[in-house]
Amino acid sequence: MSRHGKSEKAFVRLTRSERVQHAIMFVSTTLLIITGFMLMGERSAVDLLGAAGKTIFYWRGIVHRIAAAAVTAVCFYHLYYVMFKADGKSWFRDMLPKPRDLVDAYQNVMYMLGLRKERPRLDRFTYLEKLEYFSVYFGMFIVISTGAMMWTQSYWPKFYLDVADALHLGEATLAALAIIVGHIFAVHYNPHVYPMNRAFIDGKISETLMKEEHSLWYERIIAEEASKPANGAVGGRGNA
Amino acid sequence: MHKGGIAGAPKKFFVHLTMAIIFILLAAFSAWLLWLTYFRDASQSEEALAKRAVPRREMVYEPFHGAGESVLEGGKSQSWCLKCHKDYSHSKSKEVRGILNAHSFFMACEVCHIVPKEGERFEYKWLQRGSNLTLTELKGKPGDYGGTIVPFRAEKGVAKRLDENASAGPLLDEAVAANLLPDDTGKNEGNGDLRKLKDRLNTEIHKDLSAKPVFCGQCHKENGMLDFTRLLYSPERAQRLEFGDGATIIKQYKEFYLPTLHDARSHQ
Repeated sequence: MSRHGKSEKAFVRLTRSERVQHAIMFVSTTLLIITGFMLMGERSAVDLLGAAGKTIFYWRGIVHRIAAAAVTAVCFYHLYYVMFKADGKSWFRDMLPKPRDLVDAYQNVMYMLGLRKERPRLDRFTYLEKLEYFSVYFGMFIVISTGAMMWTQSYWPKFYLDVADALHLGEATLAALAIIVGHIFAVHYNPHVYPMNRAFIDGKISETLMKEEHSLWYERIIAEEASKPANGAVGGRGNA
Repeated sequence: MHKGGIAGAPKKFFVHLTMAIIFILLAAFSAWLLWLTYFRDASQSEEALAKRAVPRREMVYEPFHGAGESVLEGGKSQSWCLKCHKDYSHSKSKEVRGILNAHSFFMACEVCHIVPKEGERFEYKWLQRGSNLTLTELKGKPGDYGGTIVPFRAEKGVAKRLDENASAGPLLDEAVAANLLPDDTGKNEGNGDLRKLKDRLNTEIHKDLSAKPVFCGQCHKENGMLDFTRLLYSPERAQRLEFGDGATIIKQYKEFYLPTLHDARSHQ
């Protein structure tokens, strides 16, 4: 029910590889959150399930590990992607924080407080998206390393495992809240795209949304298009 | 356009309803996470938390010798050795004294400290604490069945308890009367009579004891010194005592040690 029409010009927001990475990340993270926080439930609730409770918790551990392996694999692939693939390099280059992000953040807060008339003109990735992206690096480093420790617990001192357990739970809680509040609500419940930002499915972003949320990027692409020969296709990640 | 508008209304409603349900679920889950993090455990005791916790890592942390349960209640085996050696009689080796003292809670010292001679086989029985009646079944939890394992030796057709020493008994009474025991810290060294009494007592009490006691692996193995089934253990428990975690550890590790904070084996 996006207010952006289907016939409108669209731009590539996510390549197929990025969408696959996102899909694996989405499925495995959802499974990790569910199977991980099952451990924070109440014993009485598990006891109510009787013998099925034991079976469920047996599979809980296996599913958690499979999902963990998948998310770890996709993280390592993403590192390879941003280091060696052209689209990945472009992604990472545009994702790097710049001084302008601070200005954008300030201006956006002023706009949201009603102290500024216009939204700041944002580039391909906004300061919030950059923050979210790099917080995933931090979070993944914590949960993967501590999760690996707990998976191989017989090789670690109990003291280390207790610390790893606390860090794993803390980061998982933070990440789950960040995904729900900072990502799902901000991306899909955002009035500009509600009820869903379809970029994670078809990889496209509408021209209207480009102008509203990534106007600098939009102008850059349009300028690139204009500078190309008339019969040439739009290269890179521009027009879809 | 008009037709599309009519058909689109229910669809729109369905989408809004779905999004609203997802919103409520996600918001509820977020609230639960915040409650878990900041409020749930705030006023709960450790015991309550442990009771409430769902099963995790139980394969690793299940103790194989009931550590921390029965031993802390010590002093019930009524072995007269304990009058001098106290409840926690094994103190020399920090590495294994916990396990040894756990055993002395339900075993007479003589089970390990009088070793059968070549070809000889003692009879071991559970005697009820207090009454000394022979137990016919084991009730309670491992390590605390309300009785003590006592060795018997057949002498002239009569089963003689090896944890009793008739000749040492009067000497022991004499020593107790002279305030020599249980805490003789050398204060009576200058008293010749007491010195002699102590020497006689030492000799008499320890005369049957073996220089080398029975070690873990001599019992915790198949066809070991103790027949666990005859000792009233269930077949499953007997098998666990012969082949279970503890028995396996005994077979694998000949050297015991105390772990440190940074030791990977500290929780095994």
